Amino acid sequence: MAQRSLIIEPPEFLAERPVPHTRIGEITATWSGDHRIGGIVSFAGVVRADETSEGAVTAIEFTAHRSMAQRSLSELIERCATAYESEVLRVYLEHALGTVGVGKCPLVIVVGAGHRPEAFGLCRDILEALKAEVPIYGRELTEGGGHQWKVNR
Amino acid sequence: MRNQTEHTPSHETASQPRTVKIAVFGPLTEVVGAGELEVELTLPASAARLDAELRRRRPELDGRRYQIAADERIVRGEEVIHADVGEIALLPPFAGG
Repeated sequence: MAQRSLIIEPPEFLAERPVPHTRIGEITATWSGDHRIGGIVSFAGVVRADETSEGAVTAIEFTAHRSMAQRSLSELIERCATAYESEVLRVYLEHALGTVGVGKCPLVIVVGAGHRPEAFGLCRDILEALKAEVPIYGRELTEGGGHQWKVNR
Repeated sequence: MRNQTEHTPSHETASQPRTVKIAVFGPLTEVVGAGELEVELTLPASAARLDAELRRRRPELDGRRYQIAADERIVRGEEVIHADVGEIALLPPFAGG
């Protein structure tokens, strides 16, 4: 088997703004020069207008233990990738901090691989591990001016 | 050396309670009313003992779920938090994604 290559981007996974909706297209275009890639799978998390007792959710305010979240993301991507054999695995992950309004993206994960099983599998594994292991917090702001803390299930 | 340290406790085993700053995150910042709390604790201590001591000294933590991180690593049960720990953090259930 050819030398396995895992490329993880960007250096900082957390940024103080919603992830632009166009990010997935940009990354896909950037990776078009990597001719080992046969499939790209992406996930975009989107803030929903959930109904609460204080009205609909209007935004989520994200905070984190930033240095621990950065380290945790880096480690979990590498760990998840060990489950897949592919000549190349490329991962792009960006999570927003600060206020993210309804319809905006707090998270984008893009995974490129030689074939679709690795791309789908790794994208999902990273997402599930992120929800379970990374110290990121979300305060859901509601129409009535109140808030409640989001918890992953 | 072993026998000697048993009779003359080392720096770690001889530690007296001292004020330790503990970083808190997410919903715990509202419970505590700040991003950190200061508690009199003796280190080294197991994660379980530190948790019991914390909850005894800070009743507002009663019924709150969190994991303890020492220098950005989750510590549980009998795992030890050393006296020279750089940061202790309380991490409530996560909500990323």
